[in-house]
Amino acid sequence: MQARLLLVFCVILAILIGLIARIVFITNQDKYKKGALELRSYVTSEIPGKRGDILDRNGNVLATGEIVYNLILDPKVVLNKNAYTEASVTALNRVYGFEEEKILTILNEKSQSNYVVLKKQLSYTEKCAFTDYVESLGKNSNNVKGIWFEEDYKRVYPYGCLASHVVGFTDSEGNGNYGIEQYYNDVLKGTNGRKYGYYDGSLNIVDTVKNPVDGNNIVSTIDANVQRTIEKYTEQFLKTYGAHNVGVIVMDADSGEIYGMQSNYSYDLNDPRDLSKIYSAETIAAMTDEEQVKALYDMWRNFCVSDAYEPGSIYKPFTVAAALEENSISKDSLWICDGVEDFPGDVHIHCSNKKGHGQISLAQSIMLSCNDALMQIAKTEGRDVFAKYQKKFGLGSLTGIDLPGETSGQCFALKDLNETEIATSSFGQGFTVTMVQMASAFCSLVNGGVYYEPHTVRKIQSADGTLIKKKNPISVGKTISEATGEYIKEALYMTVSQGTGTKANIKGYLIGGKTGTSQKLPREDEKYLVSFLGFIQSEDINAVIYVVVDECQDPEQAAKCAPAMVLFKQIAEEILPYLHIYPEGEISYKLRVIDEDSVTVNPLVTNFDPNDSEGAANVFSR
Amino acid sequence: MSFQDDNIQQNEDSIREEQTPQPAAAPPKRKRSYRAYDYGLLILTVFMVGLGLVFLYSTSSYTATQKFGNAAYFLKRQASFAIIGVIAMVVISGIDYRLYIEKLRFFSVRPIYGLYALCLLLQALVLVVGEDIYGAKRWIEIPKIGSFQPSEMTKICVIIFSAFICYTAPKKLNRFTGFLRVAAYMAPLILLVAKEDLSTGVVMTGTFVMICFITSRRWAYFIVSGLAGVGAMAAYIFLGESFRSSRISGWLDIDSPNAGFQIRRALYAISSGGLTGKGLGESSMKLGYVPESHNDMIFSIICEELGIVGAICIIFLFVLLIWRIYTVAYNAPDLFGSLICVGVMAHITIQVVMNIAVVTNSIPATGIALPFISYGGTSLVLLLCEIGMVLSVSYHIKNVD
Repeated sequence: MQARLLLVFCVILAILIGLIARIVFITNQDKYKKGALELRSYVTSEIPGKRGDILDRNGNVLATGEIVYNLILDPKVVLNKNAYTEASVTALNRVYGFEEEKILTILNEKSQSNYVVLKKQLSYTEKCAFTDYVESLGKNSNNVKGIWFEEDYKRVYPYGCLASHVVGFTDSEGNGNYGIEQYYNDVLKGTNGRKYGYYDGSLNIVDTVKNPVDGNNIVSTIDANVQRTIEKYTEQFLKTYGAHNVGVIVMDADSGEIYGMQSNYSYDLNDPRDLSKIYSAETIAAMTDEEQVKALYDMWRNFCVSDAYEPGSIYKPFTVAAALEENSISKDSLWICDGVEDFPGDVHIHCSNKKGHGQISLAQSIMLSCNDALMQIAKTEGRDVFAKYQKKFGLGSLTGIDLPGETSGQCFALKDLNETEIATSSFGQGFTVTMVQMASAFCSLVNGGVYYEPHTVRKIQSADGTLIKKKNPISVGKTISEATGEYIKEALYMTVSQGTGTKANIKGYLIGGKTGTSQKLPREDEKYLVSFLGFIQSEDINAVIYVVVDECQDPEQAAKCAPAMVLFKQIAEEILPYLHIYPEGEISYKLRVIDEDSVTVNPLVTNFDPNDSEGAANVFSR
Repeated sequence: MSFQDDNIQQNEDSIREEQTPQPAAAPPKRKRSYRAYDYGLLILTVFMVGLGLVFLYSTSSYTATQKFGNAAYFLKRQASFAIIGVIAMVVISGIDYRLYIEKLRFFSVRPIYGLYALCLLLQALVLVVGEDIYGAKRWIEIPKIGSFQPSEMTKICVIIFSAFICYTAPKKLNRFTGFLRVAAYMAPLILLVAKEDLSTGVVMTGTFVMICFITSRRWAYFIVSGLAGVGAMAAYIFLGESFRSSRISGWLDIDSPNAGFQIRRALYAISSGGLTGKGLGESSMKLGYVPESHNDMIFSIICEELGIVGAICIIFLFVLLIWRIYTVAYNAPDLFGSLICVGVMAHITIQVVMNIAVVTNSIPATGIALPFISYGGTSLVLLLCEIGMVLSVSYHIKNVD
């Protein structure tokens, strides 16, 4: 019996120790502590934490917070006395035009509440209108009770449309949508504070304030002047010719910093749901809700990072670079272009010049954008080298750009890369890329072979301006050697000065670049995406400008690169001074790497008429 | 060397043993016995009652002011019951506990039968004329004094009566039928109580089962019936009346808005106490936020005011109290005395555990008072009577010097 008694006593001890552990556990639960604070409060009000600003690289404010006021009604106080109710309801009606009946309904429905938000985001003047009215009542002003204003922040974009696809906007909850606002939401977001008033043990009211924490500011790599210029000409282009998509990226090849990025029409960040810039009022009125939502998503979509397409001939320098790098070909190699290349299964792939270029040198294959030569080069390279370099150039995988919604595009897997696939891939057909991928890979071609991660944010600062994080250029890997890079650069200079890219040439500047025309799927529709990928170097910056025009609506220009080159030229001419690159009068560039003779192998080059065969109309035929 | 040392040591030991005088051989001393009245338990009990009054004042003053305009309203009532209770305790401690089961000289009836009959009567009565408070009839209104809770007295009856039955035939408890016999005696009382107040029924059941368990020498049927009991309880709780199942869901998900707000607020109170609490009288959750803050929920307010440290101290005091009763039970002169102590110990323990478990949301919400501390006159007086019985048992322990 006594043993049992002892056992029982021990069990009791164990249970009580368990309960003590439970008490300790509960004491460490913050949610209950917070619950107690909230419960005891006679009123709690939020003190907003300011969302951080977004600045461009020169300190221009792209996004900021502005103090606004929320109109708060305290039904408990208002209903305290009939005189209060009457005076307060009249005041709300006079100043803000609320219907008296509506206010009375709210008062009755929420009679036990201390906090009803009547109106959000009043400006300072609107707030003052109320205080002025109350003062004008004189003696009776004491009867207006239970109405007060709570500070809040409203997101304001001083430049409106500028860089809309890079900056993004915020929803009513203060969370970022699209762009930097979304990608860096946690960095920008402030933490709201709270004010609790409660009764202490002696029934005195005590205030406890939990201070708000302001979010961090972001200094973007965007240059407002560059961006504005891009937007101006993109919009102009869309209005004159129209296109399915137009995208422009300006970036620095030596750091991966994005100076400007444009995707079709920009939208007003202060009113992101306004479609009127793209559609007429009648069209919008005729849209169903679903159509409107789709239209909004399309408008917000950043073509430069979220859409993949076949790059076309602008991929040629990459194929050549890979072949040179692996010594599959030599700089002095010559090819014969007969205008068409035959593949198993009765597939014939034409050159841009269907009659054939004849004998052609390596430099000329880029300058004239010769498909035939490129197909032969790629064949020499073989699938392993080809796939290896696609991977090295970051194709088929995300670039890691700090913007949401990036897509990776799709390259052929190594085992699928057969004769025909290598042939089409050599001139940029058959696999898909995004603009950011192409621009970043191109940067490595022209900067000596370093692949930098593209990014839109330079540094993060705390609200008081202290530097928190500086985003230095991140080198992801080495793509090609400097010697190869030098050769490609010269070939690209030659392309613009003598080859297919002459329309992009700007007087007084040494510009390199490559045109591209890709035939979209399904091929028989004969729809084209044309592009120009160019670069201009100075001591300060190694500027890469990439222009894509997807399905130009002008039938005459459909398969021609001219629109992309013209847009490139317009933009470059105006932004280069902002980038501290100034014209130098007559340019006399001496070839250093490329043999002078190899340029003159094919007389087509010296007598090249850019209007004649710059298009690559329907190279696929059976 | 060391080997030698060991031998020497052993030799010395054996010499010492031989020299030790054999106690049996010594001439017997004259036995001097004295009675071991447990003053420790008495002082501890009075201390706890005093402490209870302090907490009661702290937790009830706000409610008392709100309801009666007199901050000391509950304190005064409880204090007068405490005085009555302490007097009753001392008086009962002087009465030989064996008297309860001996035949009275004049009526030749054992008093325990009288108590059993009285309890049955009162429990039946309360169902008819009882005051309906919170949807349950538990109180009998007595003019001018207040309301009386017969179930508190029934608890004492359960203790003494089951101890009595076990004492008269302890060997029967070695069989399950013997246990059923005790249960059959207890069933009318407990069922009448449990109809209106399930948790008190649970306390009583636990108490008499504990007494049987200590008496018995068998394990198996306790384990089996214990498991069956738990299963039945679970079935009753989960499949029972609608209000009970909502209680269960509230217990399982205390953060849902449908859950009982009392327990959630008790948790708020406990967590806002922290390690050392806000200080005696500084609770803010007692200001109308935790209902019954001076009653079933008093422990949460103690946690808020005195923190984890204070809570551990209170629990430690209960452990001390239970330990004192345990010692008396252990040394009791006869099985009946021992079983009475076991019953009192079980009663106090179950109430303490259930009360703390409820306020910490460890078990579904139910109304059980914290012994000596919660507000309630009947409960306090009758608890003190129980301690009086334990003291009476301790008084009859004959220590042999």
